[in-house]
Amino acid sequence: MLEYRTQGFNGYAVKYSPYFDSKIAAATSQHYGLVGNGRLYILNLTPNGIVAEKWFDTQDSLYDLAWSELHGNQCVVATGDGSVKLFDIGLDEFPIRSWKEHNREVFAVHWNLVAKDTFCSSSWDGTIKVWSPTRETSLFTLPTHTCTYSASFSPHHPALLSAVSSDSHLRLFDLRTPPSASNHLVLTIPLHAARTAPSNPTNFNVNTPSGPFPPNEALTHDWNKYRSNIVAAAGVDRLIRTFDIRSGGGPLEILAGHDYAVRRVAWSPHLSDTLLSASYDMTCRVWTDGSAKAVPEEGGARELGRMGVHTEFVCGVDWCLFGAEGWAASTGWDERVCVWDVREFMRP
Amino acid sequence: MADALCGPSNPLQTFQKQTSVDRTLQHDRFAARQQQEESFRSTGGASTGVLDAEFEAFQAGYPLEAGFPEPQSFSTGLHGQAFEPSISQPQLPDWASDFQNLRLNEARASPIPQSQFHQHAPLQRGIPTAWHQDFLGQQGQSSSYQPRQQQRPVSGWAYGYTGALLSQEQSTLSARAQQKQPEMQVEDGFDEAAFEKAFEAATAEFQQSEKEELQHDVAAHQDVYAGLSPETENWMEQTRIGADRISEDAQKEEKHHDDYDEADELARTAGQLLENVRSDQSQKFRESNFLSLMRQLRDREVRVEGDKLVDVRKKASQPLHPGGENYPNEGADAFRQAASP
Repeated sequence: MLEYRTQGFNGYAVKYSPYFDSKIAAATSQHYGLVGNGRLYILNLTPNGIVAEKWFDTQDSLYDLAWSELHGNQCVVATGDGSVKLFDIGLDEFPIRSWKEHNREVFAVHWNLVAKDTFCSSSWDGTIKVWSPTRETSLFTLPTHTCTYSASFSPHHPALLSAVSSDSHLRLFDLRTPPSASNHLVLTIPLHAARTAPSNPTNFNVNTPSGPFPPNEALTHDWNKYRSNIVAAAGVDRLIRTFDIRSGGGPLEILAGHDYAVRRVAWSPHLSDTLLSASYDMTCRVWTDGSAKAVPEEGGARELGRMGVHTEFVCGVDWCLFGAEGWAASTGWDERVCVWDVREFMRP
Repeated sequence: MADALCGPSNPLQTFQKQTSVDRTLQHDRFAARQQQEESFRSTGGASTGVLDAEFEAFQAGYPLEAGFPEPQSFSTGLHGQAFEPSISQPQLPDWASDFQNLRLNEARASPIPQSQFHQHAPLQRGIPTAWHQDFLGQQGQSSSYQPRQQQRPVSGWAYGYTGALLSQEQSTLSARAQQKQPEMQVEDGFDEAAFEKAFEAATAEFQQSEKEELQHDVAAHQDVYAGLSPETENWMEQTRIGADRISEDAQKEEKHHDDYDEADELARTAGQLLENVRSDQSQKFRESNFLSLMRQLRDREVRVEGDKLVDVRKKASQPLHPGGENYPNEGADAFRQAASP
């Protein structure tokens, strides 16, 4: 396991570069994001451990980041003052672009992985905005009317955009729909709904709660990289749920185990059933939703292992796209960025 | 000519600079009015030769630059529109005239590079002067004005005239002329107020329309929710949870509160958070720097001052670092490569 200390800054998000297998960016904030500045770290994985290539200081806390899919040197950050900034790591000190349209903290930025020419941001001000890195203003705004902690483009379709928010709902926007009063909103899934009965009852894990649950704040979600209709979402009620956007109904699987709120989930880029999560219980956990198992007896959705190195809340986790499957990076409020092999933490 | 454009200048020269590049609507209006009267040509005998020269240039396919007064309008008495045939000088649309009627003393960048003045000095010389003369004749105030070639010391009156003129209907005279001429700044001053006023009015109007738009938007959203499934309606009605309970108004109000109230709020939040994790006696949670900071906030040992957390007990305004004095220094830890567990 490799480790880097983000001295004086508490980690909120970490992302592997889609262009370089040895480059990681971390969005961090002073004083746990309560007050103070933010700092974007660009880290290189070297034979001598993790070395900071450079960093960019910002006036306000940083809560999320996304690498540009268009340009290997650029990445965009979400800041506490409502601005979205684009940095070029070939340059020093200042962002090459800064957009100030959100009225409140921006919690998430996510690049469109298919079209690659747009990215989205979501904010406490109850809106999602879609941007082009070349335009000075946002392309359009999608209202959610609720604090939206996480917004993401589908990795399978350039026009599908999803978001989860404080009101315990997953929203799906289809940008192909004509402009209308619905603002492209095509689906709203209540995250707290009771679990739908699986088609294969033998695969049904009776040990997991099945709901219905009280509404709870959703903090994070992620699209499955192989099954285009599967989304995982998690939040304050400590459960990770998977949903099928085709059915629009209750969760397919519920993954219970975290002791506190789940801050981030990430589907594996290599395995269709594997999921990584980061939580306020100071652990990262790796899960399977049971979908890849041909034989039901091997067990359905369950925790495969946990990584407990962090000593404060863990806020960011990301899979490495390159090399041997299983490498991941995590960051948390213990001022650390850890790079580790998930397989080392999996139970036999 | 060149020194008149570049060098230090007196007010009359300044005025001439304005008139020499004047291509404004007022120019058009003025020329259009000439139709009932004698053609400019009849009074501007001196310029005839130059017009011919320009005609030759035109025939030779020499590009007629923007900012040149087109003499053919003078001579043929065409309608005002004919004044603007130049490609680089598009027709002023209606809004432009409205804008100019605001009597803004606007400074607009000239489309004419300075060099062109030198390049075409022979052509440039006579025409504006002739027009200038004609203009003065029309105004019946020609007495104290002289053609550019015979510049004379100028009285304060001329300066005053320029000013008065600008504040009148003719304010557009200067509209295109106020480019990159430092000495013009003096005259800019008096119209600044009008400019500000107009700007404010425009802003207010914009805000108003934006507001209406917003209301329209809100109405539209409501329509959406009305049209959605009953399930969706439920979440509209459901009680707000988490961050949604913090309304924007509450946030704004909070800002008006004094620091004490803010510290109160923070202490309460920290207390709630600690209450939530009270049952957790794991080593990690007991040793958590974040939770110890929360305890300090709850107990008012630390408070937020601007961008910093300040340790109240020490009475010193120093930023508090989680972990306090025992915090490990950077060199030892920064590039540490820990062995895998």
